[in-house]
Amino acid sequence: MIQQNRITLFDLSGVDDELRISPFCWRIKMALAHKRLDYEAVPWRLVEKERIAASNLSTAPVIVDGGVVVGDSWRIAEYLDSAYPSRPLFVSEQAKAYCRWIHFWTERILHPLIVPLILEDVLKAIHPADFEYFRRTRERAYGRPLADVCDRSAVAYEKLFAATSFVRSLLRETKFVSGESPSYGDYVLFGAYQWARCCSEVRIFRDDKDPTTIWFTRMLGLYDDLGSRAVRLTMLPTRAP
Amino acid sequence: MALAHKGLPYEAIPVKYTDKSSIAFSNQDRVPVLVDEGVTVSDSWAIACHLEQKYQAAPALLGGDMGRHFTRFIDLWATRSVFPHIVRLVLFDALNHLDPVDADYVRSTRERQLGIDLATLEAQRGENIKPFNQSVAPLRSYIRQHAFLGGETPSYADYTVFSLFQWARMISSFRLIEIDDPIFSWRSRMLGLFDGLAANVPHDDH
Repeated sequence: MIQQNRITLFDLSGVDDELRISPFCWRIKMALAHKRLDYEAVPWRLVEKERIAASNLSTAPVIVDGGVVVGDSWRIAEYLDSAYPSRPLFVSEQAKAYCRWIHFWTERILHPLIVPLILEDVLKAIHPADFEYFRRTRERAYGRPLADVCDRSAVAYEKLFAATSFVRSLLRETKFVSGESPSYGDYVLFGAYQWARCCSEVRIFRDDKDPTTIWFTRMLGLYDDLGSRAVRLTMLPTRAP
Repeated sequence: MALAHKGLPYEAIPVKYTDKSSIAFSNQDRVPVLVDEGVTVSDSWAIACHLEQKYQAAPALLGGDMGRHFTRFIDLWATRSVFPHIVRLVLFDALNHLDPVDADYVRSTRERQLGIDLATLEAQRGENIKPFNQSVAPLRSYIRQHAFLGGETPSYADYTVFSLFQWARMISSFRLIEIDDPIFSWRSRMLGLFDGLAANVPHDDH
């Protein structure tokens, strides 16, 4: 048997080292677990650019596998399948195309609808050292002050539930988005909901009978409860404001 | 498009909103309905699955189990997340393309469903284009990297999304997609398929 190096994942952490708050990093933790690869997810903060400088990227996830450094969640998934072909994340080109679509849908539609609901809590979850950097870069991205982005009105919830209504229909028909077993597409989708779960207590599903809730619970239980065991902001002792 | 993709000869019979007697035998009241050697299938997704299952030697529409899941995701997304936005933008124009009796039927049923009168919707086009544009953002990102949703060649995923654009194009001159949008080029590729099957129908899009 070939000795495998332990892979290091730089994993965005919040106020507590064990609070892991990046949807993109959650994809990769699930992908590494899917492939039964040995890894260590080390806490990393947004301002610690020099620690991931070898990736030529400015944000996590970044993995170091022996002498190889790879950043960007999609490229990491591709790398893992090419370096470790067994237990593929993409079982075929078709499967990869599907995952790519889910990737785009999640980033262009789902994340922007989750952000207004959880942002207030994300600001509490973020490490104090990262706060200014986070505020500055996100305000530039959103084009307005973060306070104006936060929105927990009924309309904001309704927008999320309307945009995900087709996912509920899909998950009524299949166990995972790609059938009987989970694929990278499930991890991409999971990352978004797990991000919300780690940072916030807001209602991201319509109700308990929502097929997405049932799917998410199933996802949380995968790989020895990897998702389920995650530290959530609400579990941490309350800090003085 | 699916029948053409499979290379199957077919006859398309017109059905009107207010005269559905010709599809009564299917025990439901919506088109499309396919009659294939004595077998009746209604619902576009069920028809695509039927064609794929029955004509396996012909070019694949869905492409195996994974392709079927992918296509279903796109199919549900297009119908539920994109179509309602297109409806709000072009439905008013559809009335000009229907028999007067059908036009009354569509106006009254849709105004009840949407909770707004169609003339008001038409006046709101300027605002309603934005949510439509946001809804197709995943398509835009994907089509920047791939010629078709099916990859190098089109598949049923392309047809199910394209059909929404084709419907809009046939009934309305309203410009849904700007010329410099990657979606516009994809739509042009779709219009050229099967000897211009979709291009060569009466349309309002100039």
